[in-house]
Amino acid sequence: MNRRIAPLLLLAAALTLTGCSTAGPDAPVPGGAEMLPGAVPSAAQFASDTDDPAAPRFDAELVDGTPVSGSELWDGRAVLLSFNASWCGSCAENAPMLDALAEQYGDALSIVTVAGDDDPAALDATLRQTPPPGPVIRDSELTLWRAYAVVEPPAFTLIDHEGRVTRMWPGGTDEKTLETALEGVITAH
Amino acid sequence: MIHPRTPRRLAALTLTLALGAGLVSCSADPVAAPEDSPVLRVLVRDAVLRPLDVPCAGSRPYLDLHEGTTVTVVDDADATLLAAELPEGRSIAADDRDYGTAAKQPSMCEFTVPAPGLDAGEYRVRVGERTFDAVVVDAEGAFIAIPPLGIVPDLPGAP
Repeated sequence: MNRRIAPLLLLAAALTLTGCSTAGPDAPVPGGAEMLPGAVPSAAQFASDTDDPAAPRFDAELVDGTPVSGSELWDGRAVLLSFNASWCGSCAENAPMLDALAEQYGDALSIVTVAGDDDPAALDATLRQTPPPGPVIRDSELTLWRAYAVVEPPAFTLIDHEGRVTRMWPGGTDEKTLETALEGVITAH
Repeated sequence: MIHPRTPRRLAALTLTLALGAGLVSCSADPVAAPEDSPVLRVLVRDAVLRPLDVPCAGSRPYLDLHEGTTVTVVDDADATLLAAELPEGRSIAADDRDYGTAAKQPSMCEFTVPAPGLDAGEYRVRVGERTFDAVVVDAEGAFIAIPPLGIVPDLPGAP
């Protein structure tokens, strides 16, 4: 084989293989306790509208079985609930937007995926392929979906640092709209 | 024919072929059915506010109807004539009212499943866990509404 061609062939083979790769079935499912946010940054400042309604309280489990409650999640920080399902194509398209928001706001914001999948294996495979921006709640019985009046994914609910629902977006929304809403509840981060 | 003394051209061709093969091996697109083959139209009458003509799936309580849900057509002898999956749905208007410039309108989610080779007749169709008996298939295919058309709620005082 021509020595100049060999590296190119190796590169092509590597690109071909990595283009199809996904994490193996034994890899841990992202979205468990390791994705819970750290301490609220000391520089973070928040705003709240006391006329907004209290967010429905809930107790749930993350994908690794870790119990969480709504009040723990939004205790002193803003929370964006992202209602999602593995078969939802437009939910997958939101992933880069949510990753960018998670990066931008750090621990001042917790983006919590609420997965309505009735097939745990399908959810696990999706999370391995596209790691979530924060913790993931298994909501196979749609308990949280009903509590937040979600009829189809994607849907977002923004909850301020005092546990009030600031806004809901049935059917999802765009990054600019979310950023504007987040600027209203997280004034410094 | 590639001349052995043109390694750059050979390398480029090799790289292109290898990458092309990689892309093909990753593709999961089914073979397209002929345009005139019958189709199963599965209409989820969920009446949800959505933009029109965008990807969709069934909404609550039809969340089981989405891309990847299995579809089978069986005959009287229980022989499977078609085994397929729902593709991504598209939203269509739920009524013919003028909603002006509203971004979202009452809509339903329609799935179109190619059914090449399916002869006219009356069959049992299963969509996920839902079974529809005596579905009439003609040259164009079949139409399945979920919930079925013509169902009148059993209300007190209704005739």
